[in-house]
Amino acid sequence: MLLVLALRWLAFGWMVVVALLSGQIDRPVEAGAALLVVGCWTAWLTVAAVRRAVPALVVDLGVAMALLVVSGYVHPPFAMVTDHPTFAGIYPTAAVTAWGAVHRLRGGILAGVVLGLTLPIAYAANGVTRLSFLQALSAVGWGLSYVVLGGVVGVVADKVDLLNRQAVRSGERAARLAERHRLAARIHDDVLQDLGRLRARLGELPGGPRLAAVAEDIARQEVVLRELARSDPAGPALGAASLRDRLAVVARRHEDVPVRLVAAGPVPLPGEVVAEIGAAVAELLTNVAKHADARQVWLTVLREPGHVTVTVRDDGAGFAAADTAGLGLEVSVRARVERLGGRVRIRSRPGAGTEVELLVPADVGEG
Amino acid sequence: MEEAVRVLVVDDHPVTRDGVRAGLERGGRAVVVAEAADARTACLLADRVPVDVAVVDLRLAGDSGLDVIRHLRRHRPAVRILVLSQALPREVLVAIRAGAHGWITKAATAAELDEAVTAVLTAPVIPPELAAHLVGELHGHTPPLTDRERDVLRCLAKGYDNREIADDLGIALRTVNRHLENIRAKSGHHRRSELIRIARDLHD
Repeated sequence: MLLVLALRWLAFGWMVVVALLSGQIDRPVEAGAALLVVGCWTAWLTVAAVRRAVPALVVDLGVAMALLVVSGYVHPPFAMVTDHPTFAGIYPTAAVTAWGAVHRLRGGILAGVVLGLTLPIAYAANGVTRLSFLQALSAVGWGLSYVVLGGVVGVVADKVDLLNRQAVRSGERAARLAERHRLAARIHDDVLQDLGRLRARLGELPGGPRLAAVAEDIARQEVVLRELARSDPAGPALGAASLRDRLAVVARRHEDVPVRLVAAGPVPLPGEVVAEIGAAVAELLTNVAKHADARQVWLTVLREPGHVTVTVRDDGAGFAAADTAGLGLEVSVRARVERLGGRVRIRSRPGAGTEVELLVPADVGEG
Repeated sequence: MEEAVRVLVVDDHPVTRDGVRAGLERGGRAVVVAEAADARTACLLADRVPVDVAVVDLRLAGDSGLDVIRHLRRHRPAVRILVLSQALPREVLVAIRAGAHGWITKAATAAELDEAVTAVLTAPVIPPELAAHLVGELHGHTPPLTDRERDVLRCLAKGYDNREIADDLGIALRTVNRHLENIRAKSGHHRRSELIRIARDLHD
């Protein structure tokens, strides 16, 4: 918009110069009034720093149209169809540029068309009714140039905007990465070392099994922290999410069963796949907590060519194949996994725990 | 009662060494007979004191646990080596290539450490995290893993112990141990490009 403003002032200066030096102004009073109006309008636009207001744009277009008409009026008749510099000059194009900058391709073309159509009106209003072929051609050319200018400004404004947004995004991303590296380094170098020392000191205290339990809790937190510090610094690709991180959140929510999450890397997958698997695992864990009476749950993510396998295994009560206690769960989890084109395998024996395997087709790259 | 396993601990943090010692003593099956904070002392001790298992941290202040592992492999080939480390799986692969027999994280509980020190005497110790990593890592690897070896890795990743793996796959415990030995040997062999990547990771 700053450019448009500069263009305005240049155009206004041009108008003043033409008015003073061209010696072709027939009606100096009207020309002076027009200059005053345009000058005030330009000054107000500059001071008020209007950026997007629709009324201002409409008025601006009105001023441009009026200027085209007045331009014919202050000159002697037919001056507007010669090659002599005209009074309005390029000021009307500023309005087209502004429309293009604000409302892009459509706004620019619209303003260009309106201004182009004003030309014949301006001719007619000033008594220029009969044009030679060449004069008509030149008038059409002027009209079209307004339209083309509006369109070009609109497209360019779009592109500049896009570049701007990209620059901001990559700047933010770099800042996030740097911050993440710093945090990871701190977690690894300070927090984890201290926790480890703390845990070791706990081990030396004659506290019995309860202290040992606290130490194991700390150990578990260390694992969580280490995973955090290690997780892929680049983050998953756009639209993808880390299955490992999602499952870590799900596992933490089920505090009543100790869950050990095993995964090699973040395992990036499409967001909806991660959400569906996460929901299925949450159901399975809830079921384990309710029925299995387990001491430990293993939650394992394996990446293999063409598919990802997620296994939920507990060391709890288990059930016989004929038992229908888990039927509802099975239907629900199966439905989720089959929506992803995968399949479910359940193995259980009374007293030997339960193992549920979710096999989901996926193309997982190295990472 | 069988004789206690004699253990050498190599770690630059005294607190970690104390923790290992205390943890193993509570278990009652192993006893720490020597401790070292740096590679040179560790090698000297290993030459003089008879040990069954060396528990080695990869990151020692100033030098690398890898030097200790190489020294042990060359001069005391009977000693079983258990890497105790927070290191990434890739670093651990380098350690295994250098001759280590197993890996356990510093986040492991005393019970897990006790179990690992005993287990490493008869077979490589591959914790679930490393097994999960290897299932993905060893694809397109030469020599490739056999289907059975892959099954063993999957079971490890799901938290099975060797006994449970044998039951699950319907094979003898001795066969499981042989598979583990083969997996260890294969994961010690990397393509050149692999090694370059690992070296780069180590220097980050």
